[in-house]
Amino acid sequence: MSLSSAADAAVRCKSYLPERQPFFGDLHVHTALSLDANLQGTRLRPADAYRFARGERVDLPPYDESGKATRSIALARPLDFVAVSDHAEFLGLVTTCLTPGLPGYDASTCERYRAMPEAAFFALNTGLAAPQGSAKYLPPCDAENAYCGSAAVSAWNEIKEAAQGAQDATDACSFSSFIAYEWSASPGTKNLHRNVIFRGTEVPALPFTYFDGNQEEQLWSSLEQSCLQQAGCQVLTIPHNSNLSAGLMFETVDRDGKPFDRAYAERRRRFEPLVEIFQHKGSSECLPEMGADELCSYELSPYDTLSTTTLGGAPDKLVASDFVRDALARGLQLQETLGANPFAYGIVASTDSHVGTPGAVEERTFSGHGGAGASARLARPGLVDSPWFNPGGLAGLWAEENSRAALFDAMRRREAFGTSGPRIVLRMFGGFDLPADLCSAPDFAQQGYAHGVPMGGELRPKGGEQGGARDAGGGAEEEHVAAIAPRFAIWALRDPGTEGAPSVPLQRIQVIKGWVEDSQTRYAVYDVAGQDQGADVDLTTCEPRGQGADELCTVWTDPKFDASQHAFYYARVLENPSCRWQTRACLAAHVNCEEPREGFEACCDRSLPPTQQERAWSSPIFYGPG
Amino acid sequence: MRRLLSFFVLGALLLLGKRSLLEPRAELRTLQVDVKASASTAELERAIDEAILIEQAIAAGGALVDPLVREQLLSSMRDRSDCTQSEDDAALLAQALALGLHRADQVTRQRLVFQAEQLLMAGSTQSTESERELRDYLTAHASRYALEPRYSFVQITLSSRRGVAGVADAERLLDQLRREQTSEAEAVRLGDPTLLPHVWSSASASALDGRFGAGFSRALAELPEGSWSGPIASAYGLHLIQLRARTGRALPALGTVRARVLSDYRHDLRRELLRERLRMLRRQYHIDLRRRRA
Repeated sequence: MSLSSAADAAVRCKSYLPERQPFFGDLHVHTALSLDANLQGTRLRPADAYRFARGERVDLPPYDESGKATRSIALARPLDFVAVSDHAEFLGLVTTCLTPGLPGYDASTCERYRAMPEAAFFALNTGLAAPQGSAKYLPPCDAENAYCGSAAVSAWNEIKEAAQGAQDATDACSFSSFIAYEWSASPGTKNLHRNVIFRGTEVPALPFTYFDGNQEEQLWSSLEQSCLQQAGCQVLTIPHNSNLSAGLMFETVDRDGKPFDRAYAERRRRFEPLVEIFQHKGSSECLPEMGADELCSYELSPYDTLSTTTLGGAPDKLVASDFVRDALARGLQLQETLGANPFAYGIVASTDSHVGTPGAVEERTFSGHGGAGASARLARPGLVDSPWFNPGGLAGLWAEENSRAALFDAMRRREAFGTSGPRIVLRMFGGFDLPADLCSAPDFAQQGYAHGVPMGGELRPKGGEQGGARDAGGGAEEEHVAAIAPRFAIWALRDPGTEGAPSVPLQRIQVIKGWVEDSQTRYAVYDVAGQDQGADVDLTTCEPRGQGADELCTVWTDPKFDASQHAFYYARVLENPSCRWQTRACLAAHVNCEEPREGFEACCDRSLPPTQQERAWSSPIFYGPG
Repeated sequence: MRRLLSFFVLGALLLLGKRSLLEPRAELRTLQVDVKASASTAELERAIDEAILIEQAIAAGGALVDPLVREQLLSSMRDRSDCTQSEDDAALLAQALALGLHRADQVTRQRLVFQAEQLLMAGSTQSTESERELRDYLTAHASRYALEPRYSFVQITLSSRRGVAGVADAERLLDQLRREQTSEAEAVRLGDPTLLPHVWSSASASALDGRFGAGFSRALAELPEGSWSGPIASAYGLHLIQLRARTGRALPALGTVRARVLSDYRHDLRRELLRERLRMLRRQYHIDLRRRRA
């Protein structure tokens, strides 16, 4: 299926920069075409979501007596790119049963559905939770009604046209949109969702749903046939919410229970260069025991599956293998045994907004999620969302220009980073020949590319260094390590802020290292730039207090580098503390904990953190002994 | 108007069989519309439109189809003291509609209004717009499509790490740059290292504010072209600027924004179609307007 290719034409952007520049966007957005968003009151369609992303104000539910929306929202800064990624599974169903005249509307199964809509809603969500191997289309969109194909085509056409309408095809390159959808596998409500992102306008005739194929391998097979083998079509899939997969997302056996082999690892890596490490339903970075890292508790959801987020029943202990840091490390183990790493992920973050508002990450104006958590459709007192959730994050991409091709290529090579919301700019290079004084150079990026690899890249040993056991101690060892180890140059800029929302200074940069030693995965966290200067927050006003940095830069060498060990290194940049969204909402509502108010109970829940440290994560640089 | 009529035909074809919303009726139906006493003309018109849309949605089976509406109505019925628990959902739903509960609940109202709007706008996307129509639309909505001001410049950063001394440092450096013939490569080395690019080519105002901070592009707009000037402030310190070129707001050629214009044009056409169909529907009703005191 080919749309107008105007947006794919090679138009060099006026602001093209060969040393690349950062662009911020959201690759995970739902609109009224997603069943769960639709039933929560979302009315914004894909075109509306793109308008919002470009800076227009949109209305939000609930509505008052006169029918006017009680809320509206606009971004203080437009985004650079967005992918509207509605759930593929029900694109045709709602349209079919609600639109007289469409094929399937008068079918007996659709009439039965209209007579029992609660059962239908329950059945739809149960359908997504069906075990892999048995999930299938439910009536009325089954084989009898040609799977509501015509209605699904209509919805898919709307998604594509909206993306095309939003794409800036001029050399101004002010905005890029990606045609996308979400494959929403949730066996037993264990999340295996992936966002499917297409590079251009050559896309399959229809999205491939969980009901078409229950296994990730089938998704990839479908994309191979319907996209990769078609001229001009490129695609990648981005898994998210591994924190809610109860051990499934990063299993090291395929869906048939067979251990990964090299071919599987290479295939997975081809399709999945990125993972969404942070979004509305929490952080999937790490658990505190992974490197004695207390900062892993940031936005750590207590839940382990999609159902527990709404029904409760959080587990006693979260599964370590659900977290990206663990997957990165186990990927190194597989690299050693298979010769390929299926979990060599780059990092992005997103919102997963279900109210059609990509990039609405500002804690001050958080308007709720519209899918999981609290419903956005009802006028009710209290907080706009479950306090365990958050506004979501952003994806950052380093690309020469804001075009689909350049941004997609950045995703493909993992020159990407994620933030918890602020537009922190984070750049990282690794290389054996990076100058130690690179932070003082006027051409940081040029030298970074010339003498090393950017974030997402891979390093191989320099010369013939073998590393291994070191008998010399003290200074000699340090000198030896310094002589053979690569350097990592990391530079971060604080979010410059906006007129209505000043940003918070940076606190420090850390490097997280993971490696394999004696077949065990290990982690270490290093503070490499800046420091905790004791900044805090006045909880009566949410005014930040204390010193921080507008920018931080460092060139760092791993003091424990061993050239014989596979390792990954990623940077994490922390802001000074700031108020979390529910603290701001509780202050604005003048909540007095001595006089409890309906809907504001969380304001007085001392188990909830009142503050946070917003942050950014780089994609890892992977080292291998060759 | 001709295009609206063609949409009407297409739309009517979609509203098939037993539930055509726009079938003329032999007799006018009376529709009671309640508004607050102080309602403005606009609020009054909106209330009438909503009442018509709700009736149309009910006639099309919206209360049965939409699980949200159904849930709300059944919940309201079961909360009533006169509700018999043994009654099945279909019976309760019929009673709810007979009691007019679908008009009383705000969530239900909005869901039904939305359904009816979608049905009335159906069939409006099969159209063939002429280039002339799209050009006229682009011109009529120029402010929406106008390109932002753009700037090409070289910048030298004096980092905020310099503290209060930064202002004097900036003035000294500016004086030096104005006096001496300094190449671009030499000039950028006179400032502090920065992750921000030194050379900017045709960067939009919003992109610059996004990178440097709010107000940066406004300050840039005040600078002369050609010579070094400044300093202007950002979130990262002070910047000396050699502005090389700027472009003001301009309307792009249709070919470069065609997809966006087409999408917006069709969106407006659908809304106009909705208004036209609502006007036609109004002729089927006698409106019994009741103003209530607060």
